[in-house]
Amino acid sequence: MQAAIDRRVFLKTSGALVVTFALTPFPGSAKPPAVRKPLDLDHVDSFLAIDSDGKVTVYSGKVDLGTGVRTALTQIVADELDVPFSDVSLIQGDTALTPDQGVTYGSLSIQNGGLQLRQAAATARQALLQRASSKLKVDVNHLNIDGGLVIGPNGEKLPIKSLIDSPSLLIKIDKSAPQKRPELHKLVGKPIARLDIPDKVTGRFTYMQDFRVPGMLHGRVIRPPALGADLLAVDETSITGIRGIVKVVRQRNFLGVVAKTEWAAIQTAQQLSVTWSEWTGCRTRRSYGITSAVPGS
Amino acid sequence: MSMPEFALNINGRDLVANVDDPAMPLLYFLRNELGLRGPRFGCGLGQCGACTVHIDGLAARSCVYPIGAVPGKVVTLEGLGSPENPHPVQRAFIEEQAVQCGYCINGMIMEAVAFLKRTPKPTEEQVREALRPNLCRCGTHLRIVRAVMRAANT
Repeated sequence: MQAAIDRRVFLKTSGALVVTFALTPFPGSAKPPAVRKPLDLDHVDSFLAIDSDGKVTVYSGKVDLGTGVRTALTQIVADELDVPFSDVSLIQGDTALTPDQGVTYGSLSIQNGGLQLRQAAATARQALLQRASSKLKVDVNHLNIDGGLVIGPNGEKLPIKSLIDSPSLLIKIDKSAPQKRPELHKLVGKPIARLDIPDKVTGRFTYMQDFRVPGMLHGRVIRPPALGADLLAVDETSITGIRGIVKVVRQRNFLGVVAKTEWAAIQTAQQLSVTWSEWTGCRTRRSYGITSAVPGS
Repeated sequence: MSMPEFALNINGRDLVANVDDPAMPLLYFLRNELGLRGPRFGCGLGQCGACTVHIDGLAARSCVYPIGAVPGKVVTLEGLGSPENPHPVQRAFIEEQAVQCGYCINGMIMEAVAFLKRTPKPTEEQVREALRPNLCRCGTHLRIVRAVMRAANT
Protein backbone atom coordinates (compact mmCIF):
# COMPACT_ATOMS: atom_id res chain seq x y z
CA MET A 1 0.00 0.00 0.00
CA GLN A 2 3.04 2.28 -0.01
CA ALA A 3 2.16 3.57 -3.44
CA ALA A 4 -1.30 4.63 -2.32
CA ILE A 5 0.05 6.46 0.70
CA ASP A 6 2.62 8.22 -1.42
CA ARG A 7 -0.09 9.44 -3.71
CA ARG A 8 -1.98 10.94 -0.81
CA VAL A 9 0.97 12.97 0.32
CA PHE A 10 2.90 13.60 -2.85
CA LEU A 11 2.41 17.31 -2.92
CA LYS A 12 5.28 19.71 -2.79
CA THR A 13 5.21 22.38 -0.14
CA SER A 14 7.84 24.79 -1.32
CA GLY A 15 8.75 26.54 -4.50
CA ALA A 16 6.64 28.14 -7.14
CA LEU A 17 4.55 25.10 -7.86
CA VAL A 18 2.46 25.32 -4.75
CA VAL A 19 0.05 28.16 -4.88
CA THR A 20 -3.11 29.23 -3.26
CA PHE A 21 -5.38 26.86 -5.07
CA ALA A 22 -2.73 25.05 -6.99
CA LEU A 23 -1.29 22.05 -5.29
CA THR A 24 0.50 20.67 -8.25
CA PRO A 25 -0.21 17.11 -9.30
CA PHE A 26 3.27 15.71 -9.65
CA PRO A 27 3.47 12.19 -8.26
CA GLY A 28 6.88 10.89 -7.38
CA SER A 29 8.19 14.21 -6.13
CA ALA A 30 11.71 13.87 -4.77
CA LYS A 31 11.08 16.29 -1.92
CA PRO A 32 9.58 14.95 1.27
CA PRO A 33 5.87 15.39 1.02
CA ALA A 34 4.17 17.14 3.88
CA VAL A 35 0.85 18.47 2.71
CA ARG A 36 -2.15 16.36 1.95
CA LYS A 37 -4.26 17.44 -0.90
CA PRO A 38 -7.58 18.58 0.55
CA LEU A 39 -10.56 16.44 -0.36
CA ASP A 40 -13.39 18.28 1.34
CA LEU A 41 -16.15 20.00 -0.58
CA ASP A 42 -15.42 23.47 0.77
CA HIS A 43 -12.07 24.25 -0.77
CA VAL A 44 -11.07 25.12 -4.31
CA ASP A 45 -7.95 23.00 -3.90
CA SER A 46 -10.09 19.90 -3.49
CA PHE A 47 -11.37 20.33 -7.03
CA LEU A 48 -8.71 22.23 -8.94
CA ALA A 49 -5.00 22.74 -9.35
CA ILE A 50 -3.29 25.19 -11.66
CA ASP A 51 0.37 24.54 -12.24
CA SER A 52 3.13 27.00 -13.06
CA ASP A 53 2.52 26.47 -16.78
CA GLY A 54 -1.09 27.49 -16.38
CA LYS A 55 -2.34 23.94 -16.97
CA VAL A 56 -5.38 23.01 -14.96
CA THR A 57 -6.02 19.69 -13.27
CA VAL A 58 -9.57 18.91 -12.21
CA TYR A 59 -10.27 16.39 -9.46
CA SER A 60 -13.71 14.95 -9.98
CA GLY A 61 -15.43 12.57 -7.62
CA LYS A 62 -17.98 11.92 -10.35
CA VAL A 63 -16.76 9.39 -12.87
CA ASP A 64 -17.41 8.92 -16.55
CA LEU A 65 -19.18 5.61 -16.95
CA GLY A 66 -19.53 6.08 -20.66
CA THR A 67 -21.83 9.07 -20.69
CA GLY A 68 -19.19 11.60 -21.70
CA VAL A 69 -19.06 13.56 -18.44
CA ARG A 70 -15.28 13.64 -18.52
CA THR A 71 -15.57 15.83 -21.59
CA ALA A 72 -18.49 17.81 -20.21
CA LEU A 73 -16.88 18.55 -16.83
CA THR A 74 -13.71 19.60 -18.64
CA GLN A 75 -15.81 22.00 -20.73
CA ILE A 76 -17.39 23.49 -17.61
CA VAL A 77 -14.07 24.20 -15.89
CA ALA A 78 -12.26 25.42 -19.00
CA ASP A 79 -15.12 27.77 -19.77
CA GLU A 80 -15.42 29.14 -16.26
CA LEU A 81 -11.69 29.78 -16.01
CA ASP A 82 -11.39 30.94 -19.62
CA VAL A 83 -8.47 28.69 -20.32
CA PRO A 84 -8.07 26.62 -23.47
CA PHE A 85 -10.00 23.32 -23.37
CA SER A 86 -6.77 21.44 -24.09
CA ASP A 87 -5.10 22.94 -21.00
CA VAL A 88 -7.51 21.14 -18.67
CA SER A 89 -7.07 17.52 -17.67
CA LEU A 90 -9.38 15.63 -15.39
CA ILE A 91 -8.64 13.01 -12.76
CA GLN A 92 -11.75 11.10 -11.83
CA GLY A 93 -12.69 8.73 -9.07
CA ASP A 94 -9.27 8.32 -7.47
CA THR A 95 -10.41 8.51 -3.87
CA ALA A 96 -6.95 9.55 -2.68
CA LEU A 97 -7.16 12.65 -4.84
CA THR A 98 -10.78 13.43 -5.62
CA PRO A 99 -13.43 14.81 -3.28
CA ASP A 100 -16.40 12.65 -2.39
CA GLN A 101 -19.11 14.19 -4.54
CA GLY A 102 -21.44 11.29 -3.97
CA VAL A 103 -22.10 8.29 -6.15
CA THR A 104 -22.32 8.57 -9.91
CA TYR A 105 -25.95 7.92 -10.72
CA GLY A 106 -29.28 9.52 -11.43
CA SER A 107 -28.02 11.93 -14.09
CA LEU A 108 -26.46 14.00 -11.30
CA SER A 109 -22.87 14.26 -12.56
CA ILE A 110 -23.49 17.50 -14.41
CA GLN A 111 -26.24 19.04 -12.34
CA ASN A 112 -24.54 18.38 -9.01
CA GLY A 113 -20.92 17.53 -9.70
CA GLY A 114 -20.65 19.99 -12.55
CA LEU A 115 -22.05 22.85 -10.49
CA GLN A 116 -19.62 22.16 -7.65
CA LEU A 117 -16.75 22.28 -10.13
CA ARG A 118 -18.12 25.43 -11.71
CA GLN A 119 -18.26 27.25 -8.38
CA ALA A 120 -14.73 26.11 -7.53
CA ALA A 121 -13.57 27.42 -10.90
CA ALA A 122 -15.49 30.68 -10.44
CA THR A 123 -13.78 31.15 -7.07
CA ALA A 124 -10.40 30.47 -8.63
CA ARG A 125 -11.14 32.88 -11.43
CA GLN A 126 -12.08 35.57 -8.92
CA ALA A 127 -8.86 34.98 -6.99
CA LEU A 128 -6.77 35.18 -10.16
CA LEU A 129 -8.42 38.45 -11.13
CA GLN A 130 -7.85 39.90 -7.69
CA ARG A 131 -4.17 39.04 -7.90
CA ALA A 132 -3.94 40.49 -11.38
CA SER A 133 -5.70 43.59 -10.10
CA SER A 134 -3.09 44.24 -7.46
CA LYS A 135 -0.25 43.47 -9.85
CA LEU A 136 -1.54 45.72 -12.61
CA LYS A 137 -3.06 48.31 -10.27
CA VAL A 138 -6.28 48.01 -12.21
CA ASP A 139 -9.76 47.68 -10.79
CA VAL A 140 -10.77 44.04 -10.78
CA ASN A 141 -13.99 44.84 -12.59
CA HIS A 142 -12.01 45.98 -15.62
CA LEU A 143 -10.14 42.72 -15.95
CA ASN A 144 -11.07 39.67 -17.93
CA ILE A 145 -9.59 36.28 -18.66
CA ASP A 146 -9.29 34.91 -22.14
CA GLY A 147 -7.30 31.99 -23.44
CA GLY A 148 -5.34 31.69 -20.20
CA LEU A 149 -4.44 35.40 -20.14
CA VAL A 150 -5.73 38.12 -17.87
CA ILE A 151 -6.61 41.04 -20.12
CA GLY A 152 -6.59 44.60 -18.82
CA PRO A 153 -8.52 47.63 -20.10
CA ASN A 154 -5.48 49.04 -21.88
CA GLY A 155 -4.49 45.82 -23.53
CA GLU A 156 -2.40 44.57 -20.62
CA LYS A 157 -1.84 40.84 -20.83
CA LEU A 158 -0.86 38.73 -17.88
CA PRO A 159 -0.59 34.96 -18.23
CA ILE A 160 -2.46 33.06 -15.53
CA LYS A 161 0.74 31.21 -14.76
CA SER A 162 2.38 34.47 -13.67
CA LEU A 163 -0.26 34.78 -10.95
CA ILE A 164 0.28 31.52 -9.19
CA ASP A 165 3.50 31.93 -7.27
CA SER A 166 2.04 33.11 -3.99
CA PRO A 167 2.58 31.37 -0.71
CA SER A 168 0.40 28.37 -0.03
CA LEU A 169 -3.02 29.13 1.36
CA LEU A 170 -6.24 27.30 0.99
CA ILE A 171 -9.05 29.20 -0.66
CA LYS A 172 -12.53 28.44 0.51
CA ILE A 173 -15.11 28.10 -2.19
CA ASP A 174 -16.96 31.39 -2.37
CA LYS A 175 -20.60 30.72 -3.10
CA SER A 176 -21.01 34.30 -4.19
CA ALA A 177 -18.09 34.30 -6.63
CA PRO A 178 -19.75 35.36 -9.86
CA GLN A 179 -20.26 32.68 -12.47
CA LYS A 180 -19.96 33.45 -16.13
CA ARG A 181 -23.23 34.51 -17.66
CA PRO A 182 -24.58 31.74 -19.93
CA GLU A 183 -24.52 33.93 -23.04
CA LEU A 184 -20.76 34.31 -22.60
CA HIS A 185 -20.07 30.57 -22.63
CA LYS A 186 -17.64 29.54 -25.31
CA LEU A 187 -17.46 25.81 -24.57
CA VAL A 188 -20.49 24.89 -22.49
CA GLY A 189 -23.46 24.16 -24.67
CA LYS A 190 -21.29 23.80 -27.75
CA PRO A 191 -20.57 20.49 -29.47
CA ILE A 192 -17.12 19.29 -28.44
CA ALA A 193 -15.58 16.02 -29.61
CA ARG A 194 -15.56 13.46 -26.82
CA LEU A 195 -12.11 13.01 -25.28
CA ASP A 196 -12.42 9.27 -24.81
CA ILE A 197 -13.59 8.19 -28.25
CA PRO A 198 -10.24 7.97 -30.12
CA ASP A 199 -8.94 5.56 -27.47
CA LYS A 200 -12.18 3.59 -27.42
CA VAL A 201 -12.23 2.95 -31.15
CA THR A 202 -8.61 1.79 -31.19
CA GLY A 203 -8.46 -0.49 -28.16
CA ARG A 204 -6.43 1.90 -26.00
CA PHE A 205 -9.06 2.79 -23.43
CA THR A 206 -8.81 1.17 -20.00
CA TYR A 207 -12.12 -0.21 -18.84
CA MET A 208 -12.47 -1.70 -15.38
CA GLN A 209 -12.26 -5.15 -16.98
CA ASP A 210 -8.83 -4.28 -18.40
CA PHE A 211 -7.05 -3.82 -15.10
CA ARG A 212 -4.26 -6.34 -14.58
CA VAL A 213 -2.00 -6.64 -11.57
CA PRO A 214 1.07 -8.86 -11.26
CA GLY A 215 0.19 -12.34 -10.12
CA MET A 216 -3.50 -11.71 -10.55
CA LEU A 217 -5.77 -14.70 -10.04
CA HIS A 218 -9.23 -15.18 -11.49
CA GLY A 219 -12.39 -16.15 -9.65
CA ARG A 220 -15.92 -17.21 -10.40
CA VAL A 221 -18.90 -17.52 -8.08
CA ILE A 222 -21.06 -20.63 -8.29
CA ARG A 223 -24.67 -19.66 -7.76
CA PRO A 224 -27.38 -21.80 -6.17
CA PRO A 225 -30.21 -22.98 -8.44
CA ALA A 226 -32.85 -21.37 -6.25
CA LEU A 227 -33.17 -18.59 -3.73
CA GLY A 228 -33.51 -20.74 -0.64
CA ALA A 229 -31.14 -23.55 -1.61
CA ASP A 230 -28.51 -24.68 0.87
CA LEU A 231 -25.09 -25.92 -0.17
CA LEU A 232 -25.03 -29.58 0.83
CA ALA A 233 -21.95 -31.06 -0.80
CA VAL A 234 -19.06 -30.23 -3.13
CA ASP A 235 -17.23 -33.01 -4.96
CA GLU A 236 -13.76 -31.71 -5.80
CA THR A 237 -12.86 -34.90 -7.66
CA SER A 238 -15.08 -33.57 -10.46
CA ILE A 239 -12.46 -30.97 -11.39
CA THR A 240 -9.23 -32.90 -11.09
CA GLY A 241 -8.51 -32.66 -14.83
CA ILE A 242 -8.45 -28.86 -14.94
CA ARG A 243 -5.04 -27.19 -14.76
CA GLY A 244 -4.45 -24.03 -12.84
CA ILE A 245 -7.00 -24.38 -10.05
CA VAL A 246 -5.85 -22.60 -6.91
CA LYS A 247 -8.73 -23.08 -4.54
CA VAL A 248 -12.37 -23.95 -4.08
CA VAL A 249 -13.75 -21.46 -1.58
CA ARG A 250 -16.70 -22.49 0.53
CA GLN A 251 -18.19 -20.36 3.27
CA ARG A 252 -21.58 -21.60 4.44
CA ASN A 253 -23.77 -21.26 1.34
CA PHE A 254 -21.21 -19.28 -0.63
CA LEU A 255 -19.22 -21.20 -3.20
CA GLY A 256 -16.52 -19.85 -5.45
CA VAL A 257 -13.41 -20.95 -7.28
CA VAL A 258 -10.02 -19.30 -7.73
CA ALA A 259 -7.69 -20.18 -10.60
CA LYS A 260 -4.53 -19.00 -12.26
CA THR A 261 -6.28 -18.33 -15.54
CA GLU A 262 -9.71 -16.97 -16.34
CA TRP A 263 -10.52 -19.96 -18.51
CA ALA A 264 -9.62 -22.38 -15.74
CA ALA A 265 -11.89 -20.46 -13.35
CA ILE A 266 -14.76 -20.58 -15.85
CA GLN A 267 -14.32 -24.28 -16.52
CA THR A 268 -14.02 -25.12 -12.85
CA ALA A 269 -17.19 -23.21 -12.06
CA GLN A 270 -18.99 -25.06 -14.83
CA GLN A 271 -17.71 -28.54 -14.04
CA LEU A 272 -17.63 -28.57 -10.27
CA SER A 273 -20.15 -31.09 -9.00
CA VAL A 274 -22.30 -29.41 -6.36
CA THR A 275 -25.31 -30.65 -4.45
CA TRP A 276 -27.83 -28.03 -3.39
CA SER A 277 -30.97 -28.58 -1.33
CA GLU A 278 -34.37 -28.51 -2.99
CA TRP A 279 -36.22 -25.24 -3.43
CA THR A 280 -38.30 -24.66 -0.37
CA GLY A 281 -39.93 -21.38 -1.18
CA CYS A 282 -38.89 -17.88 -0.28
CA ARG A 283 -37.23 -17.39 3.04
CA THR A 284 -38.29 -14.86 5.55
CA ARG A 285 -35.96 -12.23 6.88
CA ARG A 286 -36.07 -13.99 10.23
CA SER A 287 -34.75 -17.23 8.74
CA TYR A 288 -31.63 -15.34 7.70
CA GLY A 289 -31.19 -14.16 11.26
CA ILE A 290 -32.30 -10.60 10.47
CA THR A 291 -34.37 -9.33 13.35
CA SER A 292 -33.92 -5.57 13.18
CA ALA A 293 -37.08 -3.62 12.72
CA VAL A 294 -37.48 -2.34 9.19
CA PRO A 295 -40.55 -0.39 8.20
CA GLY A 296 -42.85 -2.61 6.22
CA SER A 297 -41.18 -5.83 7.20
CA MET B 1 2.11 -33.36 -19.34
CA SER B 2 3.41 -30.76 -21.73
CA MET B 3 1.28 -27.83 -22.72
CA PRO B 4 -0.10 -27.73 -26.24
CA GLU B 5 1.54 -25.13 -28.43
CA PHE B 6 -0.08 -23.23 -31.23
CA ALA B 7 1.59 -21.05 -33.82
CA LEU B 8 -0.42 -17.89 -34.27
CA ASN B 9 -0.13 -14.64 -36.13
CA ILE B 10 -1.74 -11.79 -34.22
CA ASN B 11 -1.77 -8.30 -35.72
CA GLY B 12 1.09 -9.26 -38.01
CA ARG B 13 3.23 -10.75 -35.28
CA ASP B 14 4.16 -14.44 -35.26
CA LEU B 15 4.02 -16.04 -31.85
CA VAL B 16 3.60 -19.36 -30.15
CA ALA B 17 0.79 -19.78 -27.66
CA ASN B 18 1.32 -22.20 -24.81
CA VAL B 19 -2.08 -22.97 -23.37
CA ASP B 20 -3.45 -25.53 -20.93
CA ASP B 21 -6.46 -26.27 -23.06
CA PRO B 22 -6.84 -26.07 -26.86
CA ALA B 23 -10.57 -25.53 -26.33
CA MET B 24 -9.92 -22.24 -24.55
CA PRO B 25 -11.59 -19.48 -26.55
CA LEU B 26 -9.18 -17.18 -28.37
CA LEU B 27 -10.54 -14.15 -26.46
CA TYR B 28 -8.89 -15.16 -23.19
CA PHE B 29 -5.52 -15.51 -24.85
CA LEU B 30 -5.80 -12.13 -26.56
CA ARG B 31 -6.90 -10.29 -23.42
CA ASN B 32 -5.08 -12.08 -20.63
CA GLU B 33 -1.88 -13.28 -22.29
CA LEU B 34 -1.33 -10.52 -24.83
CA GLY B 35 -3.00 -7.72 -22.86
CA LEU B 36 -5.10 -6.61 -25.82
CA ARG B 37 -8.09 -4.43 -24.96
CA GLY B 38 -9.93 -4.22 -28.26
CA PRO B 39 -11.76 -7.54 -28.06
CA ARG B 40 -14.08 -7.55 -25.08
CA PHE B 41 -16.03 -10.11 -23.10
CA GLY B 42 -19.71 -9.39 -23.41
CA CYS B 43 -21.93 -12.46 -23.28
CA GLY B 44 -19.44 -15.29 -23.68
CA LEU B 45 -21.92 -16.98 -26.01
CA GLY B 46 -21.09 -15.40 -29.36
CA GLN B 47 -24.36 -13.49 -29.27
CA CYS B 48 -23.45 -9.85 -28.66
CA GLY B 49 -20.38 -9.24 -30.82
CA ALA B 50 -18.20 -7.37 -28.31
CA CYS B 51 -15.41 -9.97 -28.73
CA THR B 52 -15.25 -9.81 -32.54
CA VAL B 53 -11.87 -10.19 -34.26
CA HIS B 54 -10.84 -10.98 -37.82
CA ILE B 55 -9.55 -14.41 -38.70
CA ASP B 56 -8.19 -14.34 -42.23
CA GLY B 57 -10.22 -11.21 -42.84
CA LEU B 58 -13.55 -12.63 -41.70
CA ALA B 59 -15.33 -11.45 -38.58
CA ALA B 60 -15.24 -14.14 -35.89
CA ARG B 61 -16.52 -14.30 -32.34
CA SER B 62 -13.40 -14.86 -30.27
CA CYS B 63 -15.31 -15.69 -27.07
CA VAL B 64 -16.40 -19.02 -28.58
CA TYR B 65 -13.55 -19.66 -31.02
CA PRO B 66 -11.24 -22.39 -29.64
CA ILE B 67 -7.64 -21.26 -29.81
CA GLY B 68 -6.65 -24.69 -31.08
CA ALA B 69 -8.87 -24.25 -34.13
CA VAL B 70 -7.66 -20.84 -35.31
CA PRO B 71 -6.75 -21.48 -38.93
CA GLY B 72 -5.08 -18.25 -39.90
CA LYS B 73 -4.09 -14.69 -39.22
CA VAL B 74 -5.84 -12.85 -36.43
CA VAL B 75 -6.38 -9.10 -36.48
CA THR B 76 -7.85 -7.20 -33.56
CA LEU B 77 -9.06 -3.61 -33.21
CA GLU B 78 -5.50 -2.62 -32.27
CA GLY B 79 -4.29 -4.09 -35.56
CA LEU B 80 -6.51 -1.80 -37.63
CA GLY B 81 -5.14 1.54 -36.54
CA SER B 82 -4.16 3.84 -33.71
CA PRO B 83 -5.45 7.16 -32.36
CA GLU B 84 -2.62 8.80 -34.31
CA ASN B 85 -3.29 6.85 -37.48
CA PRO B 86 -6.80 5.41 -37.40
CA HIS B 87 -8.28 3.03 -39.95
CA PRO B 88 -10.88 4.80 -42.15
CA VAL B 89 -13.69 3.06 -40.28
CA GLN B 90 -12.22 4.03 -36.91
CA ARG B 91 -11.90 7.61 -38.18
CA ALA B 92 -15.53 7.59 -39.31
CA PHE B 93 -16.62 6.42 -35.84
CA ILE B 94 -14.69 9.32 -34.30
CA GLU B 95 -16.14 11.80 -36.76
CA GLU B 96 -19.69 10.63 -36.14
CA GLN B 97 -19.01 10.40 -32.36
CA ALA B 98 -20.60 6.97 -32.65
CA VAL B 99 -19.68 5.83 -29.16
CA GLN B 100 -21.38 6.18 -25.84
CA CYS B 101 -19.76 3.83 -23.35
CA GLY B 102 -17.92 2.15 -26.20
CA TYR B 103 -18.03 -1.38 -24.90
CA CYS B 104 -19.63 -2.76 -28.08
CA ILE B 105 -17.65 -0.59 -30.45
CA ASN B 106 -14.88 -3.11 -31.01
CA GLY B 107 -17.45 -5.47 -32.47
CA MET B 108 -19.20 -2.79 -34.48
CA ILE B 109 -15.94 -1.71 -36.10
CA MET B 110 -14.53 -5.19 -36.69
CA GLU B 111 -17.84 -6.37 -38.16
CA ALA B 112 -18.11 -3.23 -40.31
CA VAL B 113 -14.57 -3.48 -41.67
CA ALA B 114 -15.09 -7.10 -42.70
CA PHE B 115 -18.47 -6.22 -44.19
CA LEU B 116 -17.19 -3.24 -46.17
CA LYS B 117 -14.45 -5.40 -47.64
CA ARG B 118 -17.03 -7.60 -49.33
CA THR B 119 -19.61 -4.83 -49.82
CA PRO B 120 -17.70 -1.61 -50.49
CA LYS B 121 -20.76 0.45 -51.49
CA PRO B 122 -23.57 -0.73 -49.27
CA THR B 123 -27.03 0.65 -48.82
CA GLU B 124 -28.05 1.71 -45.34
CA GLU B 125 -30.32 -1.31 -45.26
CA GLN B 126 -27.35 -3.60 -45.92
CA VAL B 127 -25.36 -1.93 -43.13
CA ARG B 128 -28.22 -2.46 -40.70
CA GLU B 129 -28.46 -6.10 -41.72
CA ALA B 130 -24.69 -6.63 -41.42
CA LEU B 131 -24.62 -5.18 -37.90
CA ARG B 132 -27.86 -6.80 -36.78
CA PRO B 133 -26.02 -9.44 -34.68
CA ASN B 134 -24.04 -6.77 -32.82
CA LEU B 135 -25.70 -5.37 -29.73
CA CYS B 136 -25.28 -1.88 -28.28
CA ARG B 137 -27.05 -1.24 -25.03
CA CYS B 138 -26.44 2.50 -24.94
CA GLY B 139 -28.40 3.03 -28.13
CA THR B 140 -25.86 4.62 -30.46
CA HIS B 141 -27.08 2.43 -33.35
CA LEU B 142 -28.10 5.37 -35.52
CA ARG B 143 -24.69 7.01 -35.22
CA ILE B 144 -23.00 3.66 -35.81
CA VAL B 145 -24.91 3.19 -39.05
CA ARG B 146 -24.00 6.74 -40.09
CA ALA B 147 -20.34 6.06 -39.31
CA VAL B 148 -20.28 2.94 -41.48
CA MET B 149 -22.00 4.79 -44.32
CA ARG B 150 -19.49 7.63 -43.94
CA ALA B 151 -16.59 5.18 -44.11
CA ALA B 152 -18.09 3.59 -47.23
CA ASN B 153 -18.47 6.96 -48.91
CA THR B 154 -14.99 8.28 -48.29
